[in-house]
Amino acid sequence: MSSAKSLLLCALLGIGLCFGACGGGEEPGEFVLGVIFPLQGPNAQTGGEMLNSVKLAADEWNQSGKLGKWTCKVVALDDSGDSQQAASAAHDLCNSYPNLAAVVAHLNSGCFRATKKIYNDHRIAAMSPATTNPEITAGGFDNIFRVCATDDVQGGAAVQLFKELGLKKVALIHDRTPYGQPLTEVIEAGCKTAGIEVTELVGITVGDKDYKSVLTKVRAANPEAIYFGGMYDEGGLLVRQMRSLGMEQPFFGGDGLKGPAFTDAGGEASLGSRVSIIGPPIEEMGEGEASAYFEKYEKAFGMKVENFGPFAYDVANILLEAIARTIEQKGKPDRETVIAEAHKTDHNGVIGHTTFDEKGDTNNRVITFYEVYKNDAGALDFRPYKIIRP
Amino acid sequence: MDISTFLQHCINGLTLGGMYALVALGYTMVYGIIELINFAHGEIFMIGGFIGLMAIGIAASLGFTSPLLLLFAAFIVALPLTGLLGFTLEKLAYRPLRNTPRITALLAALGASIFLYSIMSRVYTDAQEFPTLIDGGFEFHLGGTENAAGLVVLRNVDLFVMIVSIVLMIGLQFLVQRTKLGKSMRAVAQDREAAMLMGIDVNRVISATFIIGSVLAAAGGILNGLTYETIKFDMGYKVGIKAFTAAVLGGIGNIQGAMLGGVILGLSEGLAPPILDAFGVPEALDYKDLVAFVILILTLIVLPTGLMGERVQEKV
Amino acid sequence: MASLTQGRIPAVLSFAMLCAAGIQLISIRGNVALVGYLCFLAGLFMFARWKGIAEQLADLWREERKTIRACFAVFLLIYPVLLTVMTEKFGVPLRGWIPHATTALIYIMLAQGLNLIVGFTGLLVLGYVAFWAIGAYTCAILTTSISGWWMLWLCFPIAAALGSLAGFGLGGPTLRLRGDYLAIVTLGFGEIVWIVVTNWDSMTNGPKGISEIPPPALGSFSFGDGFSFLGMRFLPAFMMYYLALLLCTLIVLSVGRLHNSRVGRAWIAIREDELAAEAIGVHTVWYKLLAFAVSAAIAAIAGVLYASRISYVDPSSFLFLRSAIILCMVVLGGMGSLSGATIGATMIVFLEVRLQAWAEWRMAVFGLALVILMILRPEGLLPPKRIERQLYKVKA
Repeated sequence: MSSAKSLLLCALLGIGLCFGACGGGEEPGEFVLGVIFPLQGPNAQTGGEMLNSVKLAADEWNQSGKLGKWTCKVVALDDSGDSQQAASAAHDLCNSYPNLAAVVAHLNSGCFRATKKIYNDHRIAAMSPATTNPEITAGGFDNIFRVCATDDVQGGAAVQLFKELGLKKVALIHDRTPYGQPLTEVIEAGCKTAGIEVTELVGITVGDKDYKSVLTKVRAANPEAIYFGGMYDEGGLLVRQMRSLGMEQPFFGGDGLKGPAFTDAGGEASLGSRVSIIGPPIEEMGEGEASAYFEKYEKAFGMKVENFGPFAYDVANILLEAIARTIEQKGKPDRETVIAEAHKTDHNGVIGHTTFDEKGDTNNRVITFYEVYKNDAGALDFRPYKIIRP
Repeated sequence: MDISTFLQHCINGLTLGGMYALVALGYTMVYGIIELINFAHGEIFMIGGFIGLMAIGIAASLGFTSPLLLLFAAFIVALPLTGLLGFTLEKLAYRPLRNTPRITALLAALGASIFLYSIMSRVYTDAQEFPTLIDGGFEFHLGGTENAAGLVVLRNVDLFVMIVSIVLMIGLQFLVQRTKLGKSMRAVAQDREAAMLMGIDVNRVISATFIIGSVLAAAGGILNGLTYETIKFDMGYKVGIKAFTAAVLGGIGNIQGAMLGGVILGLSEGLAPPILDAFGVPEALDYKDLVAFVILILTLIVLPTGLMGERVQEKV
Repeated sequence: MASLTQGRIPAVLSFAMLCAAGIQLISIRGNVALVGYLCFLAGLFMFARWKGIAEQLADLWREERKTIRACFAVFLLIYPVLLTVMTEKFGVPLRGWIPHATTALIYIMLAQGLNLIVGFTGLLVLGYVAFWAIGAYTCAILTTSISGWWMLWLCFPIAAALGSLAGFGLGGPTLRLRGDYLAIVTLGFGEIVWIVVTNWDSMTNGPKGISEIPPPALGSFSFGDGFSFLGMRFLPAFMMYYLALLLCTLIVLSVGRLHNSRVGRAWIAIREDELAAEAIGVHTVWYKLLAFAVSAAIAAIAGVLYASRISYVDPSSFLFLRSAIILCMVVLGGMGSLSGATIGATMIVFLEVRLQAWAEWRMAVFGLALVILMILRPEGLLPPKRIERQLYKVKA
């Protein structure tokens, strides 16, 4: 009896060993493009769209034959928007894939701040499509890049627009995240120097659904405009509840609101909202590149691009370009060379023309404000409202 | 703070409180009967809202346009289906754990909550627009100013939410106090073994409790959709925690207590931060979420079993 | 088969096999392998349920306690070396499991601390992460405003003091509350700390978090630097692991000592029957407060280590879900048992990492696994022996 049980224990452990033995690594001739986004939790939708866009870009590169004998494999991990899990995922990615060539990483600024040192320890180029906190690139690491505007740029543009519109009193609301709060704080500082009164700088909580108490307080001071630093769903709820409280002020927002996800959540109430995003309007860029991406995405995944997809698509393309040049020179995706090549980026993409300064921030500092309007088909859409150049 | 702002804060607080109360009922019923903090209740609330949305979509595609009919469709489909979900959940996840230490059932509930949340976040990835079925409202100008700052807005949908909540709560009260099922529920809550000896089918009663709690949650989910006009998969979490706090505040296991706790919580959340702000407390609005928990802790320090909970004399 | 179940050599052998299996298991990637891993976990639970072999192994290990302990210590000590050698010399990319093990060690401390109050004393605490946050923020604020390598080491006693103060603060007024009323108050406390941390911008920098927290260092030697040795590259995570191991061992040993002391027995008496304990002269108020304070201090110490290791803290890491996961570790491992909390923490940390293979469905699988594991083995993997004997065998 006891021997049978001993045997069973041995068998169980044996199975474990077998599984270990057949655990696959990477194929030769395959390099890994790592992706870490929130694929769980409230921002899973945004993360999922960015992941899809990276996959789309990788597929195109694999089919184009420009990578020589190499193929690109996308490995996606989840950070849930939590800095702790981001660090864990970054460790996992950097250590478990010897052929890791570069990382497309993070929607949330907090996550990137927790992981940038890990990427630097492993000398991996990490490029973010959406983290806007200025401090991320301030650490002096040469392997950290981003293609989106920092809060300074975007906030400055908002203040400039306020000035041009002749506004005297604005209220600033943020979503108490590392994205929204610094953005509105930059605007507050800008308003102070521009002589615009800020009646209120107040935070809401993501996950709450009822913002009426904050809005009622904001309403009492009767500001001329309201700026929200935050993301689509909260922005939609906020603009709806504003209108239902009889507040007819214009509603402004940052790149966290520029996307159909905002008009979906806000409905008719979002009409006339003005939201900023980096880069010149698509129409102005001339090239078919931008609109082609939207069509390709819809064809590949059966849904429309709703939020940060274009940024992730450009990041993937920029990194793969750098990797392709590296392969040309070295015959393999050597990490140091990828970082050096990424610095030489000169890319025309969906979000405009991207080159990097020495810190790794984008030189693309054109900000376009879009306005929500009703198109001929009766659907809510965005049209360019004002272009603000540095 | 002028009078119109104050009134507006009151209205905001009351509508919020009604919602908390409705969800708190489900927590308190389940707790009263099997002493389980049903963490998945917030998720059931959310799923109820989504089923209602689906029902409206289907009814609209069948050619119904009248808002009342659509509303009816939402309730008639979502309530039974969500009840079924509650029944299934209890049967699969909680029943096998009924005679184990209570903390294991608590963790199973937590697991179920995480599971349902994640599944729904894959099905409906972002906020969905909930059609505006009840439009219009009352607007009063107070305080002399003609701009929005002097406005008091009471939307019809808020009135509707309050009325439906009150009707449901009265119905529940009737069910628990006057019907045979209610009587057996109270019996099981008091002493499960004795109830069993009296010939009460305990399993059936517990299932019924879960079904009723889930039905109320589904109604809450639809009302939530009507009020905020969008629903998202994360809407159950915050409301769930606040509603549970309300249930404990009122004295967990006590139905009137849950209602009272919900309204008190909603009102104080709506009123306390602006009042503190008016008295010059800095950043009072930013600490809005603190109110609920501070009130809870202060109440429990004075009344350890909540506002209306039974004072249990410990037996030696 | 008597020789297989007795003596030192089988004990060492069986231990080595388990370790090898564990390392193999963490090295696998891909969907099939992950299904295998989940099956293995489920199997382990069923297996532990089906007494016999597990008991036999346990008996063997108990008899050869000293050998097994020595093996275990050696394994923990050579673990990062082993993984580095495997990565650098044999091309098996296992090195990532060094930082994961450090994470596991931090969570073991947390699980031990929570176990002390939930498992030993029987008070359900749902907002445990708050104490962790207090420790992490103490470290972040102090080390970024006062430079010098010694600051971090000072942070440990300061954080422990602040943590236990918070524990007293929470425990004191709420001692009268029974069962779930206490649970909800602690949940509220967790939320309150989170809200304060998020909003108190001047102190905690709000949602932006505090970055550039220096890694632990002794003079000019930093635990956060990698180095090369014998042609192998050792990662920054390498030395961190040993620091975490040292702290974790200290904590586990002291919790073990407490558990077997007069204090521990008083806690268990309170858990079993508070009134009876009071009647036989246990000062329940004092011992409950002590449990709160010690447990909070342990979490705060883990928080200091966590902050200096990750170099960045922000409120996103201290949500309710974390408290819930730590509670899962304690209950899945077996409430009230030292080895249970250790195993539970390790298992869940590694499970979380493994589930990255299904990033999009990660939490759904986690939730489902939690329900199933609870149903399969409600008392946890390794329930404490004393309770089992007292509660089940004596009565039967």
